[in-house]
Amino acid sequence: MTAVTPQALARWPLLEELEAAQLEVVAQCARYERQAKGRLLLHQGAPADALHLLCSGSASLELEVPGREPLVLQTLGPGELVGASWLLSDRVQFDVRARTDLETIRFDTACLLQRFEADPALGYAFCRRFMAVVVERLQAARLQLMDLYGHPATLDEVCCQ
Amino acid sequence: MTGRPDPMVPSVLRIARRIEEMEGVVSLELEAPGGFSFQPGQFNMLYAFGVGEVPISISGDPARTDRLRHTVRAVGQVSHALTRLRPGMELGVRGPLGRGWPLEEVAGGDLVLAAGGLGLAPLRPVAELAVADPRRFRRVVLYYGTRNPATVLWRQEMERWRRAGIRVHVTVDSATPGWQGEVGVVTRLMQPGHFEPAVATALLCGPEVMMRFSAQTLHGLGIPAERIHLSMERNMNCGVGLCGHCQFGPRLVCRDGPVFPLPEVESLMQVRGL
Repeated sequence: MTAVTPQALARWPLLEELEAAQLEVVAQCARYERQAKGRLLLHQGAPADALHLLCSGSASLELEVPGREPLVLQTLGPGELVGASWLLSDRVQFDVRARTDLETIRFDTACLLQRFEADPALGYAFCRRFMAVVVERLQAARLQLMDLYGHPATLDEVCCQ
Repeated sequence: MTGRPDPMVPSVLRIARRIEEMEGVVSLELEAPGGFSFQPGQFNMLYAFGVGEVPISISGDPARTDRLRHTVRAVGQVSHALTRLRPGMELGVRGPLGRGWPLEEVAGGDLVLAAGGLGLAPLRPVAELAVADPRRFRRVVLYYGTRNPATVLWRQEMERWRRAGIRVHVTVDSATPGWQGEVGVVTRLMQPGHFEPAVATALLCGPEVMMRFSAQTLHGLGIPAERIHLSMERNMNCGVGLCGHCQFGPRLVCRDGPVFPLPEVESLMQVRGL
């Protein structure tokens, strides 16, 4: 695992609005990590001790279903976060698998929480950005659930197909 | 048909080929002995004799003026009747109708196509134009979202488009075992760096909710609103602006559209019930 510089963190939209001094603190909790294609980056049920920012490659968010192949809920690419339940849950909710070789920035969540408690302004700034990601993910999940492309029969011949 | 004096009188065309694209979706290739020219994005009224007429966008290659292609999903009585037609049978055609994609304003710039489900049909002629004339656009990106892997339209065509230089991104809302592609809503495919916003024009077709969120995302990525165009769907009956069934605020979708720039429809799309 390699250390991450504050400058490297500032390149990502999630963190670009943090001040230089705040980035210094967050960088103390961050390390680069690699994961080979096919391997699990996060395991469902494991302690939620890490938040990952995808730097390169692609990952899938999967749900383990007994007796079936894992269900892929969403695929994620560079700039996106995985392990988003870290703030409120002590366990990982879904498997995250590397679809390609991955490079991520791994944040130690215990370290982050410690820094945020010491500096609530930093915690607020980080969590505001983090919430934007969560809300975007929630909106996407809602759209995904509403079966956009299913044609309502009541519309009948209304549409120019 | 072009040059026809009465736009309400259909031409009778024979089906040359019927392609079962997926369950409930059929493409009909019609013989057009006199030639049939259209602008990508335009539609025809297709008449299943004795049943009725529906507006269907043209999904064929604009260079093939001898063949006219439509892709029809069986959702109602008329479209069911159309999808049951077989080669050698005939149907009525009125068109081409409406305002197509503003391709002249994209020339030399980046072209961003965003399609949802069967909304890929009116964008297919644009992709074929881009393949036939690679210098016409600087860069072409296609974002395509659909329900699940079984409903991905035109896989072979998309592979051909990829080989011709179009950057094709496909996602499904719901994956099934074996699917190796992306999973999630189509807006999540749209990333900075795929196109140059200053010279990009976006053409969107799909369910209205999908277009609304796609337009927001593309605008957020820097494409000016006036260069985002949407193909709208409303209850088109006459197809030529006479009956008023497809009124959309101050506009008639059949006559003034179906393609509109985002600023013309953005506020109307927020009006409940319109």
